[in-house]
Amino acid sequence: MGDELLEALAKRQRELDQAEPALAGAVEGDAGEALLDGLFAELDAQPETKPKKSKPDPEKVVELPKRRSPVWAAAAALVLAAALLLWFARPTPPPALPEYRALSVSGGAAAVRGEHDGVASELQLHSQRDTVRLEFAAAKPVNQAVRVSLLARRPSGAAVFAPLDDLHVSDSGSFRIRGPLERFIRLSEGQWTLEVIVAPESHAPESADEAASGDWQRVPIEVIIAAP
Amino acid sequence: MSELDDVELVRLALGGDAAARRELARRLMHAVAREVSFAVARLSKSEGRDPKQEVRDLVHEVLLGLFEDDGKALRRWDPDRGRSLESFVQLIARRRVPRMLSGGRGNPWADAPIDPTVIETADDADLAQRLEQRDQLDQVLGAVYSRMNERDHELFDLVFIKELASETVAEQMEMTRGAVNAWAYRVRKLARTVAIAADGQSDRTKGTARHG
Repeated sequence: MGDELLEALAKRQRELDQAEPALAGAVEGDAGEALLDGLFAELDAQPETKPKKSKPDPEKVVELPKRRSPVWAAAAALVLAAALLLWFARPTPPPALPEYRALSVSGGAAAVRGEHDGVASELQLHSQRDTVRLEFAAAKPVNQAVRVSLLARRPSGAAVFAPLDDLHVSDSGSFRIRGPLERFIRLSEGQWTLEVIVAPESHAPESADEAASGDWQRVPIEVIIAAP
Repeated sequence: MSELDDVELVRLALGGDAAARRELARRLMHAVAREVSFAVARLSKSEGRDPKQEVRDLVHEVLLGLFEDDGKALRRWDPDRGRSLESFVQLIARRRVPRMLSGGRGNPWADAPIDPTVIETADDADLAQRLEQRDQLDQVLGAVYSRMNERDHELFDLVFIKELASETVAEQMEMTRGAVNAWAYRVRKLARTVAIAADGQSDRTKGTARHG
């Protein structure tokens, strides 16, 4: 296998490294400072997800039982191994995910706030090119890989499904969907209920039908896209 | 700023010093903006959005990823590995931005199934020439980057961009020479797969334009 292709790609990267990108000025001056203000406001608003380390309570220290004889230990190990084998041999569904909620929903011409938690529940967009900023977090740290999908439904029943396979999900399970809506799902003008579906990676919807009919954890957002 | 100063700045910033955090973020913002600018220029040309706003949104996203989770991503920087803080952060941005620009859906053409025989027998020189003529090298670079993990990026930078000898790379990355060569073979195959898909996509687009 030759190296010409990789050499061409590497050469191109070296050219880029030497070039002065025209758009890098986008973060100069006030625009950059405003970006940093927004960044730290968002970071400081993130919920604390890391469990605090606490010192062990001396009163709760449990004394371990004394060592048993090697024969008993071997027998116990065999029984444990057999139990583990039986346990892992049977198919088990992944553990349920903790409850997810929207931390922020914004974008487009207007965001209409929900009645209870102050987070918008409706977005009004000029077009699907409008930038949306949706942020979600789990109530408790998530100890498994999750997959996020979007399901958009019309009142008429029409549905569009888009799995977000490469979306970055943090260790705590939180994730953001930020950018032009069309980058994530392509929708025509009109009214849609956009459901953000979060599921264990090994047990996630693969199609619009599965997404619409299954008992998935979903966070709905009403999206109205203006006619062109 | 020396590496020692950088180590101290990162330590202070992640230790809760607000002024140090802002200073660090300001410095990294410019390094990230440079990387993001290239990606936006090559991937978002025809989508009709304000490219400067696009750059700012993506820089914001990359910086969030660096600082969140108690700065977990930043804490992985190890100056003893020979990479400056800016260079380390640029590699992270190079990997993340193509994924962000595809909306977390990956690049559909780059996932198209390709006959393994075609991958084995493709002529790299011809392929590279065609991609260069069509101005598609940036697109292929972006798609290859989005399929690499952090270690792949570091290796790609050392082996192909800096063109260091495999012994040097092996030593720097704490790998055997055999492992470096095996990695290089794997990345050649990845680049070829992505390039063939881009090449085929371009042919199909032309066909559609001619007949449609």
